[in-house]
Amino acid sequence: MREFEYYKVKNLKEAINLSKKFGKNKRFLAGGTDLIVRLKDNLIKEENIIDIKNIEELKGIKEVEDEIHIGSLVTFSEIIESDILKKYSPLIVEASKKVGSPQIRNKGTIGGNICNASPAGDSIPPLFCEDAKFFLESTNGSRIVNIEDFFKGPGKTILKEDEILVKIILKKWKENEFGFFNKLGQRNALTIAIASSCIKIKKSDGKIEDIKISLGSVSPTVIRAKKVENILRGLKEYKKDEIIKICDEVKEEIDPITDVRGSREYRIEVSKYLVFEALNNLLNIRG
Amino acid sequence: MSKVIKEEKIIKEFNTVGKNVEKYDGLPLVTGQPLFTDDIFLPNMLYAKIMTSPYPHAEIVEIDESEALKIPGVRIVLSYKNTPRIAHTTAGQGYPEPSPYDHFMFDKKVRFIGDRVCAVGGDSIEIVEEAISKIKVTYKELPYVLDPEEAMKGEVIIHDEDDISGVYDKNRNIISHVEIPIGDVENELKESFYKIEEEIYFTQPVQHTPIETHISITYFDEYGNLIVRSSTQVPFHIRRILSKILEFPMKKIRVIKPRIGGGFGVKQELLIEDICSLMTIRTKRPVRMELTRKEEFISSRLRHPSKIWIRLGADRDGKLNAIDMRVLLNNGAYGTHGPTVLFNSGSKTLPLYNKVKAVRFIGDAVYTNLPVSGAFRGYGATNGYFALESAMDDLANLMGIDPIELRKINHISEGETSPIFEKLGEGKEGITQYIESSALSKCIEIGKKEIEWEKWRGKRVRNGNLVRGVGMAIMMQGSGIPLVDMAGARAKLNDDGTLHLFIGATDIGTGSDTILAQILSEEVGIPYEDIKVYSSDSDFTPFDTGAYASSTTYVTGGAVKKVGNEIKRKIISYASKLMNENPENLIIKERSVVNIITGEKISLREIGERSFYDFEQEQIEASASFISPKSPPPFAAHFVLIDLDLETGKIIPIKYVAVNDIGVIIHPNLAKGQAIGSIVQGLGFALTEELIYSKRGVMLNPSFLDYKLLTSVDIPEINVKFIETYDPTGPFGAKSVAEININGPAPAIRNAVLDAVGIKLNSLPMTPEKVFKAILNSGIKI
Ligand SMILES: Cc1cc2nc3c(=O)[nH]c(=O)nc-3n(C[C@H](O)[C@H](O)[C@H](O)COP(=O)(O)OP(=O)(O)OC[C@H]3O[C@@H](n4cnc5c(N)ncnc54)[C@H](O)[C@@H]3O)c2cc1C
Repeated sequence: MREFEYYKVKNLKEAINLSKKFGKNKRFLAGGTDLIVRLKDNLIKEENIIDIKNIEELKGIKEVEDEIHIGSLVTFSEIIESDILKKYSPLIVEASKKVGSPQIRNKGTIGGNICNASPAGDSIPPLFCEDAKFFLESTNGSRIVNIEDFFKGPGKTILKEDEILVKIILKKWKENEFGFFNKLGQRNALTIAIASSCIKIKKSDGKIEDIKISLGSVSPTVIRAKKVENILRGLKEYKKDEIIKICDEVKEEIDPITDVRGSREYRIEVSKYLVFEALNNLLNIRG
Repeated sequence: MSKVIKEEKIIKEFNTVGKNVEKYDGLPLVTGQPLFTDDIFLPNMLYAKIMTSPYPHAEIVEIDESEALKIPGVRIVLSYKNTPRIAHTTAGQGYPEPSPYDHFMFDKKVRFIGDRVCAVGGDSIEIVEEAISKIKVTYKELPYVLDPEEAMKGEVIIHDEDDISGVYDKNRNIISHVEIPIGDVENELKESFYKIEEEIYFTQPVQHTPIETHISITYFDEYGNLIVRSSTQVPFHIRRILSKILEFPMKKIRVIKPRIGGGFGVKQELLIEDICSLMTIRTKRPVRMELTRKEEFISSRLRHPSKIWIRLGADRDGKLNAIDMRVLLNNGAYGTHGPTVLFNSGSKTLPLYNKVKAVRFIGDAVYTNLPVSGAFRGYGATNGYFALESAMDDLANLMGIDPIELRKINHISEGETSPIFEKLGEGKEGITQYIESSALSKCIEIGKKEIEWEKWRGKRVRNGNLVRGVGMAIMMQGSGIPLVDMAGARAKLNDDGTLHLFIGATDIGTGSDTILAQILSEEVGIPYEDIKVYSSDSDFTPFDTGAYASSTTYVTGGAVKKVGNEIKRKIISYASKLMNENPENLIIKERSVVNIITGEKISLREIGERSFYDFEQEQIEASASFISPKSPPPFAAHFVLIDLDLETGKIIPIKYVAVNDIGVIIHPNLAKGQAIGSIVQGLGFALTEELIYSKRGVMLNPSFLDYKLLTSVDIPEINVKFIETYDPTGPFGAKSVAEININGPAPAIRNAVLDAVGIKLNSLPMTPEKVFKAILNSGIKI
């Protein structure tokens, strides 16, 4: 491991000012479950590490009218135990349960998962289905961006040099909303997704009034399968063969790679069934 | 009092054997006492690290360590330039080793990515790492070969040195070749009504992944003795090989094995002790080397990847006429354990179906420019059983009969033998053996019931995307290597009436210290708590070949039982003089020698005390050795229930049943632990574990994140059952349990998939991706 300078900051302002000072030559440290692994493998070039773990402004899960605000330092374990999220945004809870192991869930944060910007980040597909908004702060003040505008590629985001993710903003679920998160790994724990799918559905009178489908690990970033959404929206009849055929369209929307976890071909084929299986859990599909 | 019952009759009754006595090292282990190699810190200790090859095959033109030596704190660099060149094998086996002498401490040539180039010792690991980054090595790249079939063409020659020996055919990279025909296989196949023409099975490279990687600490004691404190399964072999390759007197080498965090075969090998020792000899300072997890994956040892061809022939009623088995092992860059693993893939599998009219076993172990394969729990049998037991199901499938029935017709039973025992031994001919104990038929029956075979078999019960299947496999192993493995034991009586037991046997977490003390306790008739065990110190304990080949319970247990008998005789003889009584009337009971006629008794404490201080003074002690012409096989029948997810190809094991005949069980919990541990390791081998290489031979996943061991949430309910038998040649009827159960999971799961969807998965591991591809190709409706 290379040598680096370590700073522990007490508040947001200090963090931002320091990061302004170091520009590109710094990294924030939250839970460290991504960063420390990469530090040990000598994959981090930056020479200054700013530890943000003590910043109160980045902590806690709050109800704000019809919204929920999740601080970027909130850990997966906190998400899993949150009554607010269980009630108003259960998809992120389900996805968080699938992250790593108890140790990783105790240390790893949602903000770290987002800013690490891996296409395999498990919290990200549900956030796409929720149309999440990210509250960012820099020396130039704050801004709110839509999740769809945030990711630029594997490990790449629109975050400016001195910008920090403060919190994630979600809309509370309504009564007729349902969701399902589906992760395929090589084993059942401590596994990076080969592919994952997440669906949120709004039903009325047995009809799909609205649907959002996102997929992880099958493109340079997590993506929404909007073509498939469009075909499904308004559907009333759920026949297995037809639904599978519709799911097959997801192939047009993804662009996976081959790596040690799985081949491009497998990811393409299996994505269709991951979407189907999620639908199968939400709709009364026949025969 | 535990009992062994056979055909409703009690045949043996025991006091200590069969009881779950407290594990000898249990309390200090769970309370975190400093028991392991790394739990000492010595002043002035140097840290050592190996610089490894970035090329799969290259000549070293020059090593320039001058810049490295300028770094303050760098103390020594070892390479071919300044170390003795003595051909040897790194395999820790009985002498002379069956493995070829094809390894040098350092060579002018590197043969895989991860091979030794040089080693640095310095004041801290950071200094050493920096030094390694400053060493300039000039290589001349050579053509390389990764595939064993390609290697056998001899276009690239991996070992062309003149000073190596024991290689079957250097020019074709063949380490070992065997061809054993028994009867006329071709003719029997031709005559057979049912034939499996040729199925080919593939097994992948996997690693042992002990929690504790290889670690050694070496230093000189006050007398100039070289102390080697090492995480090893074979302290005596380490001493012997070290003395030879360092040209250092054996008398001055003392190898100590503290507690070990797992071995599974990977520590039956001299991997780092030579470097630490030579650095200590040259610098006079203590030296510590510990492999990182990445180094453990790349530069220690693996299970041999293999390709196995099988042909079977049977007549109309299912009697096997012919088994034709050909095995090709990829040994990687060195031949360690090559001949023996090769022979074992036949010798531990083929006798299972002894009624066959003709058998042929052809095998080759081959060099390639890949990381090195070595000993791994199961030792060839694991690969062999995946092929053989899969082929048996294919045959049953072809015949349209229950695979259990096919096995019942053909498997070996008590009182029988197989010509294979004589033809195939440890890299050479073997020894004729008759089976003196076997409950295999009963194991099959009980497992069949437990898994609810009739309820699931052939039903293909479907629940949404899941299809259920059930599969099984049967297997045997051995207990030690006949007429090779030898163990010594020594015992002495103390003046408080307790015994000290000295054994060379190597407890690597298996619990052998515990069960050996139980055997002594049973034989002498004193409580287990009154025995203190000293093991695995090449200066203070008698010789033992080490912890491998499922040998310790059987072989060292045999020595301990003998030594127990001997010291009991001596205690009684001494007491008979004190008591003025015929020794025949005396027994040891309740910490005393008791006269069975008069009831008169004298305590062991008094005997011990008086033997030291006042009456016919002597140290009452005994020593004994054991070697057996037999290696009685344990038997097992494994059953697994799975769900197959058609949409992803994922195999989900639901329930696993393993019924074992391991002879008399000395310690039920420890035996069960060995069985469950083997099954879990076998499940990983079957489903997820695999080391992946690039086209150049770079290992792509040498970490626990990308090499997928199963976790606790992946493991199904595992139900282990024991059917006790009494093997007349084993200590109190015991055989062995360490390895056998790793052989079952791969074929049993493979056969369950065959049951569920009719797909033959002949290549391990059975990952979701592979299974899914097979499902798509088969046209099954998802
Ligand atoms: C064994 C293991 C298993 C894992 N399993 C999974 C898994 O199953 N699923 C999964 O999705 N991930 C997994 N991960 C990855 C990791 O745990 C998650 O991505 C986690 O959410 C990272 O959070 P962290 O707080 O630890 O991030 P850190 O490592 O502290 O930071 C990650 C990156 O984000 C930046 N960053 C952190 N917080 C902020 C912020 N507020 N503003 C701006 N930048 C920020 C950091 O500078 C750094 O570049 C695993 C990791 C390990 C080691």
